[in-house]
Amino acid sequence: MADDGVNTKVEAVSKATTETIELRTEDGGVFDVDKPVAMEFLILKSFYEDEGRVFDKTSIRLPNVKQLELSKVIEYCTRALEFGAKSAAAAGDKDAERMVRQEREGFEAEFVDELSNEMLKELILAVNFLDIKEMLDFLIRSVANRIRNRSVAYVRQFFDIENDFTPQEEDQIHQENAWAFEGVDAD
Amino acid sequence: MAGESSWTNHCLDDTPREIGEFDSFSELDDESSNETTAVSLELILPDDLLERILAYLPIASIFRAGCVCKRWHEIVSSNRFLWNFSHVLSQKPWYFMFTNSGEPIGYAYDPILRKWYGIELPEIKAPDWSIASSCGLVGFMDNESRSELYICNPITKRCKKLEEPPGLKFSDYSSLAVSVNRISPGYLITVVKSKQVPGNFFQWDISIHIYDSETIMWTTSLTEVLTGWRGGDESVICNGILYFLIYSTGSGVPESRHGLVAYSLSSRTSHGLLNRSFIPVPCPLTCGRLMNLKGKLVMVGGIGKQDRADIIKGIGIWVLNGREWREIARMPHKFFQGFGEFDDVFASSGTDDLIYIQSYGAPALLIFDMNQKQWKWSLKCPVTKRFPLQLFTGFCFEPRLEIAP
Repeated sequence: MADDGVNTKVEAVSKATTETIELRTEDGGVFDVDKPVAMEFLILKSFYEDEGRVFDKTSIRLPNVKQLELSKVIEYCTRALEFGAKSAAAAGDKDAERMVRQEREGFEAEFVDELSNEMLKELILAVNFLDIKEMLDFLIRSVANRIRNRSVAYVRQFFDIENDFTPQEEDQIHQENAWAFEGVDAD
Repeated sequence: MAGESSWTNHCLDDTPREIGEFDSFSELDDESSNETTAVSLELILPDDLLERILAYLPIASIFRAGCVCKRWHEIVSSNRFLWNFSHVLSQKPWYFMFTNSGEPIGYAYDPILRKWYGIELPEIKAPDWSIASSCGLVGFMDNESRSELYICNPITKRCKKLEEPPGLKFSDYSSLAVSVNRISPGYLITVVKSKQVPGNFFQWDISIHIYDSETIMWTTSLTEVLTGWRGGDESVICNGILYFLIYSTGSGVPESRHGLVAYSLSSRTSHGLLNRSFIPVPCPLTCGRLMNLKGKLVMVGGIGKQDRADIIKGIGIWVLNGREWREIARMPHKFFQGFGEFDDVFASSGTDDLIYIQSYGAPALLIFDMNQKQWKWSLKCPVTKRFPLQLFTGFCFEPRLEIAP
């Protein structure tokens, strides 16, 4: 449920004096993103560092990202940085480390639970475009979890794929490893 | 469904594109430059993302993924996918349980999904064949003439029949072991044969034969006559050393009913087995099962009573450090009792981090996790014992897609 097209300012929770970048999405969303969070987007990082650009308040247009996706990405990356900091602070203390890990797992479970299949796919493509390694791996694992014990028909529908096998070809694949097709979750 | 976009059609101009195309995206834009940039990006799931998703799936799901469409079938069959992701693809070891005393049929247990799969094993003709496994390859050798030997991947069913091992054709005991070298890649197979010297109860002919997949040849590296000891069925290769159990043929003290031989496959000495390579077992055993767990030799043994070493009173797990045994775990009483009527000998097999233990008399399967030091029953096997003398046995193997004989 994104705000409709007008300025959406997202401020990070960390230090008040952090520099920000303005990101504009293809559907008109505008986000002020803290530098540490924005630098998790390797596509931005290389844009600045490789080109030697000055990090002043410029506005970047992201042609392949919608505002709903970007707000989710910013949410995840902000929390990921926080967990990173907490983890570092807890280093050496096994109990504290475990607590941070559990907190993170809880957040990630909730985060992905709220995503529809559609949103999950959109996010993967957006995050792949923005080149955010950790989040991409997290989303990839989440998709794998969603399809792991599902039928072939379910997976086709999930990815919007048309079956281009003939019935005979499909039958043959079934025969070769019949055991793998048993006991899948009901669609 | 307004607002929904599919994988394959995300362009502003609605022109259908072929699957697999991946347009380059436009440069990021500074407002200050006052340019308008091309906006459409073909949002199809590119191969590399799809591979990464599929690599996280359990093996059964990967086979189903190959049935989704031709492009996916190509991807999961490709060497690139199999070898690049083999470290992610590897699952915890499965256990295949034979559920019929006559036919080599049964079910394979996946401990992660807690599922039993009705897998058909290639080539093996009876459950009493010698079986050995390493890194996803399983060797099957017939139990009579020891002339039929196959090396297979039980998941992909790729199989190779090997030349029959040399040595005595009708030995009394024969033991098979396999060791895969993932780097070369190649494998070694060893067969330890033993036969009683005719007319002499205490003397046994022992021979060790080694097959190297690189030379495609058998070598007989040792032939010796042992006095007071014989070979058996139990052997495993661990870090280039062939370990096998030997059994006392004399009426020695209980301590000496079993012994371990550690035979180096690199130095391959041709004689003096007992002098050089004998390691006593840690306590009186009713039986021992050897396995290679991450390069360590592990033995699961039935602990015999002090005065009656052939009667089992518990089950222990030891790891060999050099020539010393260190006890890792002992089966808690409740699990031992959970087997019900427990014979003095039992089946046990393991690899990687898991040890499987089952009684011959029933299809109950117990799992010990070496990492977490935890005992756990498997999900019940979908088979019931139909007659009193029905035997259940089995073996452990790593389910892998990329390895082939």
